[in-house]
Amino acid sequence: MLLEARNLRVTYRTTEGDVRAVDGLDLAISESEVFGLVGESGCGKSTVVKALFRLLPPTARIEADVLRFRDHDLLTMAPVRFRREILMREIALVPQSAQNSLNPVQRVGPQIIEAIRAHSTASTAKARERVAELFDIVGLQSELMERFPHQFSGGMRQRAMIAMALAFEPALLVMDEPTTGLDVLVQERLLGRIRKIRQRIKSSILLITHDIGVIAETADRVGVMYSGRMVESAPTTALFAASQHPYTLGLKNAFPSILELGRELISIPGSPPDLSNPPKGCGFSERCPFALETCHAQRPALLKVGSDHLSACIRTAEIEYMRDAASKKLTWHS
Amino acid sequence: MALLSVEHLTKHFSLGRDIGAVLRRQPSSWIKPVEDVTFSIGEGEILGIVGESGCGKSTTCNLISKLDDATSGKILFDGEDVTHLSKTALARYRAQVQLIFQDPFDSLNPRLKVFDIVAEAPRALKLWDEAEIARRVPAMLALVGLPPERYAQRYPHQLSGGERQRVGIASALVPEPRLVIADEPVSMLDVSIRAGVMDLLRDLSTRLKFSCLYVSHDLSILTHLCDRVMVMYLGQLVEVASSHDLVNSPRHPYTRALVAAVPVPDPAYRRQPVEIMGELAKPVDPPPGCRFAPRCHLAMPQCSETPKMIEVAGRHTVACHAVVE
Amino acid sequence: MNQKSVKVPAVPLARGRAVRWAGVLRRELSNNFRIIRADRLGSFGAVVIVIAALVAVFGPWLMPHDPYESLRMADGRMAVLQRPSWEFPLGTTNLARDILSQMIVATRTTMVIGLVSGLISIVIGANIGLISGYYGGRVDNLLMRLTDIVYGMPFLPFIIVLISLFGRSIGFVMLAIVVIVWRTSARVVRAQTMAIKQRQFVAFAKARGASDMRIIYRHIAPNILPLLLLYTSFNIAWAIVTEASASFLGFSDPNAITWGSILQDLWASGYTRSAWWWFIAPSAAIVLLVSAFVFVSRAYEVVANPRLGDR
Repeated sequence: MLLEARNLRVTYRTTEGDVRAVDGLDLAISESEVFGLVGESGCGKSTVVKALFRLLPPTARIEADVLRFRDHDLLTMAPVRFRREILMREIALVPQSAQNSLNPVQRVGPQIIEAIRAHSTASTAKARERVAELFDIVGLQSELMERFPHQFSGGMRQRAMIAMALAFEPALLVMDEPTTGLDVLVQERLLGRIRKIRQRIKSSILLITHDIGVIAETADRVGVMYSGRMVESAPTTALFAASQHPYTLGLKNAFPSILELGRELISIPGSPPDLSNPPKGCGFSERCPFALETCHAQRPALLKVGSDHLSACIRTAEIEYMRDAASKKLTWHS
Repeated sequence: MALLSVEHLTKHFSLGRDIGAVLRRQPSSWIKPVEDVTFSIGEGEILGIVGESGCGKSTTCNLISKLDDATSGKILFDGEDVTHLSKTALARYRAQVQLIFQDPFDSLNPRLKVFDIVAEAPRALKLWDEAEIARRVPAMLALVGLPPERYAQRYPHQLSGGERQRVGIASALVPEPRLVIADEPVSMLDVSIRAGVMDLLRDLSTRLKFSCLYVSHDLSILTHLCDRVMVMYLGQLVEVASSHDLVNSPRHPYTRALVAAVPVPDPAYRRQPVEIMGELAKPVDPPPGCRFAPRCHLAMPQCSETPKMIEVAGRHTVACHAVVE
Repeated sequence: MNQKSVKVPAVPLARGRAVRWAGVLRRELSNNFRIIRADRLGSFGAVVIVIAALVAVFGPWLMPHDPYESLRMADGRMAVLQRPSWEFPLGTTNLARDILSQMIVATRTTMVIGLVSGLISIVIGANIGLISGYYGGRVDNLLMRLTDIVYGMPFLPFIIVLISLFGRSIGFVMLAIVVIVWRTSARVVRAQTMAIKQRQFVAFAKARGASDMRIIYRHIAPNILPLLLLYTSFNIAWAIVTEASASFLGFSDPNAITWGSILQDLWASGYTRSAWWWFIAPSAAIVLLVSAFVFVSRAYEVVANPRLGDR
């Protein structure tokens, strides 16, 4: 197990009380796999990234039963040790709007060289060699090392950030919404590039996005987040072909596909719950057409419902009925 | 007769020169976001425009809604030439052509209540007296799924993104427009909410009898919602077809690449991406002729002459020399 | 909940607008209590202002003596340069006038001048800023050139010229203050207007058919209100200081009593060093009231710049 989290909780202290951005998340990523974390706004996925990389403000609190990377306990590790040994070397981040993370007044090559030298004892010459190599991996021409960020297009900047993240061939690469804000053709190129990178480098990728199409294409396994928790987790094919949670069913209904022009899109009524006042039971119960009394009262645990398939729903035994009912608009909008 | 007809619509504007350029006698640069666009929308039709950033779709919306003035070309609404309008004529036009905006978090005035936001058009255009407005606004709020008792007195910051977008829709529909231009209305909403808003728009377009010009960069959404879709590249119209034809038999090389690049929520489906060279350019001082030519693997010497829109199948038109060959 | 059936049927738009603005102001004021209460210095400032206002309104009825009258003490002597005592709580001047009574009358004059000049300058500045920022182009150029010219005008020479030409009067002091003070608010409001003009809700209003005037006053102005209140407070503080300076230098109406004029009398009498009580009262009052307005402005900074509130 490369990265394991059990019952991860992140609480922000605000002037209006505590907000539970992540409320008991279970996550497990193996070696050399692409794990897609999917969820809509407010589900807590960005907070998970911040928690992993210690980018949370001092008013936030992280708690977990388990938060382990290989055999390092991330929860108790000292920040200095984390920065020296883990960050960039073992786990690296390609942040959201990475395109805006580059220093506009410095050439791109030197920026990455600086980052490499900050985390290792490499000489400038060696670092430069490495950057050339990285540019090759991400498909950027080496002349671009001497250019400024504004001379790069959006997609190219994104790739430059990926190059920086890959500098030490980390075991885990975390990409936070890499395709958001990119035009379709640029996105296509980026995803293709990610596929090529995987062929050369054995890193695992934690891909965080709200775009189900991207997940379907790129991820080996998928985790669906809702209201701060993981509600379903399975290999991609199983998740799409045989979903085991009403929220996943609802999401699939709501997502248009150019292959199914005639299909009626069904939205999920209501909106995500207020995390400063989280519901007692299942986070999705207020919008779920299959919710029972118990669902509102008690949190469902994330349980195994098949080999390598987890779901946090107490009615998974009736999944056939639910799948059938969920495909009808009336079920959701009576 | 078409409700809206646009002929050779063009928008150019020049960038000023700095003193260095003036001294060196360099000509000013021109930005040409919309170039010779011709199309029409029928009664009750939902027409989509798709394209990447910088393709001119938003500028086209601004030209048609008259938030901006065209450099040349004609806009005909209901047969009448509306390209240049006096102030009073503009007010009449605004009552018939309305706009729905993209950003639910920025398009509503944070200091106004929902009621006042929705009542803005009839008040600004002096359509009805306050008593009549007090009748129509709550009715429209109910129609978009926001019960007036609960929503009319609230402020935008108390509403979710989807609710705000519904307020935007209500405010556009209150003056009973015949044409609604929707500029990426759902792109900033969560996926599970989008379907509801899109369906609302489609239902209301049938019920209230208005046509819709829907702009988006997301082909999946457009082909789902629209009857016909137009594809724009760098200010030029390259292809127009029904949703079905566009997706199943795209003819223009750009459209082909676009359709092939759309991610599909089905892991079993193997996409066949179409590689195109180069990067998306900005519409600054573009060379004459087809603007896709620099990136097109079918480019020929003739492409320096702008191709005409030719019909290749029923109501399916393409502007490409290579296709017509 | 309550239905939004409107209280103003087919009535001239002007009246409807007045009703709406009244509502807006009422909402602003209730917001204000919250903002000021949150900031300790701001609360202190607000209390001081309220006290000053009360003194200004009710003081003249309650003052113990006539501020212009030369008074006698119990034993018949002239009460010249008396230290603070029960009979003369703030002491007396060299002409046997009660300083407390003078202070009370002066409070009213100073408050009136400060408030009126401050408010007028804000109204002028805000309107110029709004129009300049919204229209841009030649209108903006013209108005900003005007503002620049005024920026170049120094206060003292200007008021000297006015007074030489037209004689000493409070009106001219106020005029001079207004002319000098409006320029900063104009600049700031213009910058804010230009920023707000880019927001999508302005395009929204335009698309709905709103005229330029309607956009400026119904859509943009309410969004700069917090900034305006900040600057109003600031302008009033400035107006008070400026007025005090002017009357101290003898440029104001010789018959009016203001805090500055009390200091002027002190200075002219030559007893500055010895009659400390005469000096302390008006000085303390000026410092206190001006600080009060500045503290209140600072409480508003949180509204204009919300990140400051995350302390």
